[in-house]
Amino acid sequence: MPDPLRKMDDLVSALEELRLHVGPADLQVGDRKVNSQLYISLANACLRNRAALLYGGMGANKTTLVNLLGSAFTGLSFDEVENLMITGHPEQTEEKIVGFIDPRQWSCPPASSPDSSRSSPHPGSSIRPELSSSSFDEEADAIQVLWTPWARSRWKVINEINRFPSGKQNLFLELLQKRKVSYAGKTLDLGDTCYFATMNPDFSATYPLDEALLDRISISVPATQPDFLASLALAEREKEVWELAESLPYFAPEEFESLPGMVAAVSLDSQVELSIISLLRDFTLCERAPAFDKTQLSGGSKPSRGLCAGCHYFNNPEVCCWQVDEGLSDRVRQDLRSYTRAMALLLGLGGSGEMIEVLRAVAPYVIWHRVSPNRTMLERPPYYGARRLLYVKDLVEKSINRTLNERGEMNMIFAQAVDGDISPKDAMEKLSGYDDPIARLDYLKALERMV
Amino acid sequence: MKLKGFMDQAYGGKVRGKKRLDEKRGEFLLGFEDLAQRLKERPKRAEVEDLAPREADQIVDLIFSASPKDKREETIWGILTSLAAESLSEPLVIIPPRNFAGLELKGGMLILDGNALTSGPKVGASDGTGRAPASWTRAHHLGERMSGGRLIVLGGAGDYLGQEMDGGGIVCASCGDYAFRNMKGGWGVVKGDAGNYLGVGNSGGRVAVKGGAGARAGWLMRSGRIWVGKDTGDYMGLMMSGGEISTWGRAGARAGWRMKGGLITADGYGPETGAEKVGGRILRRKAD
Repeated sequence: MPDPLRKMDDLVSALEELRLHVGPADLQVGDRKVNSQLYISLANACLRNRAALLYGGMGANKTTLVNLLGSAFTGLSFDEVENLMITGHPEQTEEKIVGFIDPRQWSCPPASSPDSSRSSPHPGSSIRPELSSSSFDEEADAIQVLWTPWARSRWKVINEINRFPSGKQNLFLELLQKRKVSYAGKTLDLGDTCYFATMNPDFSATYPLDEALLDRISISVPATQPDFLASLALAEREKEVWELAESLPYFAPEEFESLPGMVAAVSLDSQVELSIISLLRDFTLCERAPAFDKTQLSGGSKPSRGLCAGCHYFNNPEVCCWQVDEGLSDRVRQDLRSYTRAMALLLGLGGSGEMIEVLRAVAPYVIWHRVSPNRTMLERPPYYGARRLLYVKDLVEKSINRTLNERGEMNMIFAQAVDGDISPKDAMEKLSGYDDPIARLDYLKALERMV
Repeated sequence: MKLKGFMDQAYGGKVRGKKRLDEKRGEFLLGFEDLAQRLKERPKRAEVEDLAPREADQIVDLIFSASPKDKREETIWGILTSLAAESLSEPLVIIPPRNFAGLELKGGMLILDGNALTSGPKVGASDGTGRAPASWTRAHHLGERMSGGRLIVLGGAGDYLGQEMDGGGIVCASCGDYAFRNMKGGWGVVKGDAGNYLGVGNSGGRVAVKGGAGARAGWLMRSGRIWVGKDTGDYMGLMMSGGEISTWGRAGARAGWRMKGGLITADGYGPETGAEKVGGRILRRKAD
């Protein structure tokens, strides 16, 4: 009987033993410590239609790791997976990425076509102004598009995504949004796919990633250079990567397909669900934004541009709202739930109190690439302007701790009011004594509507 | 499921009481005013320490950029001077000294230069006895409640110098009234004159004054030692119950009045010395 989780453990062991990935155990989940780059990539492989971004300098084993995992999960050879990958550069075109019109259709007209002029239009006059819209659709139906192997693959790797110019990044935005790709009027349904992207820091010849695209990247993990011990271990590797890749355990198609179902079977307890919602509200609520929603703010009015000056919560280190410019979208909630489940499945966790530890570990990686921290705070020790992930991790920690501890009483009051156990007016009176953004901007407003 | 059931599950029946949003040490501070705003009406050293920057240089920046407006802000400023002095490996020099400098000092060395303007009242013209010249002003409450370290005041100190100190040492050119009041330990050296009420209620420590002292030196003293190089004012050792006061000049009228214990030594005494004395000893130093 196939056991994908056991095979997953074998894969992790094989990657380490073959010296194909020997990163440090930098991700602490409860009592366990694992390598963040590997386990977040594995978690992404267990999910479908989520995109993981591996961020780091050259030679940090980003692309190779993703291709090795692609080889193990899809059953293709390492070379085949490498050939599937697309790499960003300014001259990359849509035709090279997704597909192009099959030129053979004009030299070999299909025998079944009754109208030779329609089945073999003259090149360059495929769109004729005299055609009606219905005839245009028929014309488009007749066009054959050759989709690239990358477009047809269920394991999509976008290498160096930041080397695509901004206009071409829109292609991926559409792809991640619609889960389908269009070219010359033809549409290819991408189906359930695993997306991976890699990105270097801001070198020359790179382009900033669009905020909308960043929001559609579900999780991001830094890839670091091997440390001293890892370098020693890598020195023992004598064969080429592609040779060693053949020794990795391969997943059968049904095993790979069963992973999303196994993730979905992991249940999240109320503690985790409550912490996720509160975490989102902590980042998103803003007393001065329209509808108290920071995602409504335009470029000129941001916390970093003086929006918070004189605000009650400004400079209070326990409050998250003023410490990041952006609010979090509902996609973050979905991503937090999915990756918490996937990581819990990978690590075999699920007991009382274990799921919240998984959330604590995973949440910073889901959030940090989506927000811009307050520069003044970020530039202070221990962040030194560079450790953005650590900064977001501290914010996440504060939010979760606050939800699980200080917010208990106010949450119970609100719950009693919503359930009708106490009157909204009484609840409002009690909640007005709580100095908390969620109580003031969410709970009190909701109770006002109930009154 | 009802929302209350959801919350019950989330908290497992253990709901903690509300708590104000905490502030932690080393977090973002806009300046001294910002720090003062975050503290309560009567800030304690531990509370200031919690919010103050970790780096000594940053504390020093706060100290020199500050303009304390009232007693509350002066006490915060004073605690900051102590925190900075304790963190630095070399002496911290503060120009000008303000009230409460060296408040609750536990270590390090703090040098206050009284040559510059301060928030304290101006003193009279120099009388040639070590008192500060006319242009000097004096800061009060210097080295109050200190328990370690050294405080050096290059000019004259104001009132309440070293009040309630429990350790460490203070050296100053001169001092105002109530110097070393309720002293429990440590030592103080005044190179010029001391004002009235020197060492009131002392229960420990040692004080040496090279010049003279004003009235009621050693009033209600229980333990410790006071040494005065020149004359002292009236009521020296008033109602003292222990310790030792030694003056190398003349004591004023009613020295040792109602004293219950301890020892007073002087070259000479004014009228009514030892009146209503219950215990203790009053000695006259023999002339050479």
